[in-house]
Amino acid sequence: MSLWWRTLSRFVLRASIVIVICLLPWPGLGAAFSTACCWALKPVVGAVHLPAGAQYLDLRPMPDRSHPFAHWKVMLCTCDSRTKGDRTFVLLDVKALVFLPFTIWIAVAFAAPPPAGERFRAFAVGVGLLLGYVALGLVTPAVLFLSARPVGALSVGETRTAFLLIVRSMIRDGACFVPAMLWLFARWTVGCGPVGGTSVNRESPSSPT
Amino acid sequence: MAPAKLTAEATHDRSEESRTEGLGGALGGLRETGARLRFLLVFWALSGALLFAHHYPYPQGTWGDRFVTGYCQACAWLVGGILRTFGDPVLVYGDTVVHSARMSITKDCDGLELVGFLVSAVVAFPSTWKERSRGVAFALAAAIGLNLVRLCTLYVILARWPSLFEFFHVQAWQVLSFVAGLALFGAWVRILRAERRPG
Repeated sequence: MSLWWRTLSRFVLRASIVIVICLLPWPGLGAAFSTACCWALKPVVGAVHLPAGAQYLDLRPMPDRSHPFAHWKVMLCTCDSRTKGDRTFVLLDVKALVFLPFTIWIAVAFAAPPPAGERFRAFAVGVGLLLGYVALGLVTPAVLFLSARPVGALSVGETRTAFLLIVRSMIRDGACFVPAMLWLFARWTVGCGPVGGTSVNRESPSSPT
Repeated sequence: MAPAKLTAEATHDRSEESRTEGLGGALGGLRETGARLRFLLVFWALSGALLFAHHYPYPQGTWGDRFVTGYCQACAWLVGGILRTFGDPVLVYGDTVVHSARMSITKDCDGLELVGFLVSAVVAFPSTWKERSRGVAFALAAAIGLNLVRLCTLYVILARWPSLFEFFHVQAWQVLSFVAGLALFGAWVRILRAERRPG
């Protein structure tokens, strides 16, 4: 087996192991992750002002957890200021929008060949790009929700709404490929070694001179 | 001293090879920053355009709508044929496969995104147009074949273990498609490099 096949199969195997470990149905992981997402995003959501005086925007874990995938969903809802009850809501799947891209990111970073320094630099710098992608994935359905009836807090227009609907589908489709490509970009721009970083010569352990 | 020099040259050659082999070898035509960035730019632009074209809400009856509808119906017909071959007497109505379960192949889950990503990667990779056209044909055949396997397994899961369907539909097959996409692209580049090698 050539070095090429060895490295590629090692990469695919290591990445697959990380992905499988992350995607296993660990008890409590979904609930903890969605709660953490709500906690992290609450200040952003709270800063959005709705035009109707008696309403505010809130982000909470899905209350009905009977469905196995409900643990991974958070509810962006408009609430009544007095009763605190939700009026209208949209469900955001944080597993598909946040967890999966980060899983792929970590898997690719973990599985990429050394040197470790390049991997770490690319991981640290590229994570900003990934956050931008994840933020876009969360903001798009939120904007669609806020612009649609009955909320109507944003005026987006028909063309932009159609565009955002397409973008939402594109983001969902790219949940795996986009993080991998962002990783490549980070590695190639931040990392200074060759592609894949195989600058360490493992075939020739010592110099003959 | 001569043997030592020869060994040094051989080691140097292996060192050079090791830089371009391995995972880097999968992208062996991309050793310079310019080529790498060009690859990424073309990939982003093309895959973005293809995905946009795929998800565009075509009015009913237009060529885009007819293409996507036709593709979904063709997938359903092929999935029906494959399942019947394996002894499941399914019926196909348009884009829907029915027997012990009812599965519709719709625009949002037709698997065309893998085709888009693979074709974009093949076109973005530095090669001649002849190599690209063969690569695109390979990518189309491989991605569509993989998608048929995906649809058949999803139907079986829906029929036998319906509670697992969402997991396999939304997550497992998305990740599997990604890993398979990487492997298919790597395989194509490997074939390309083998063809280019003199002798």
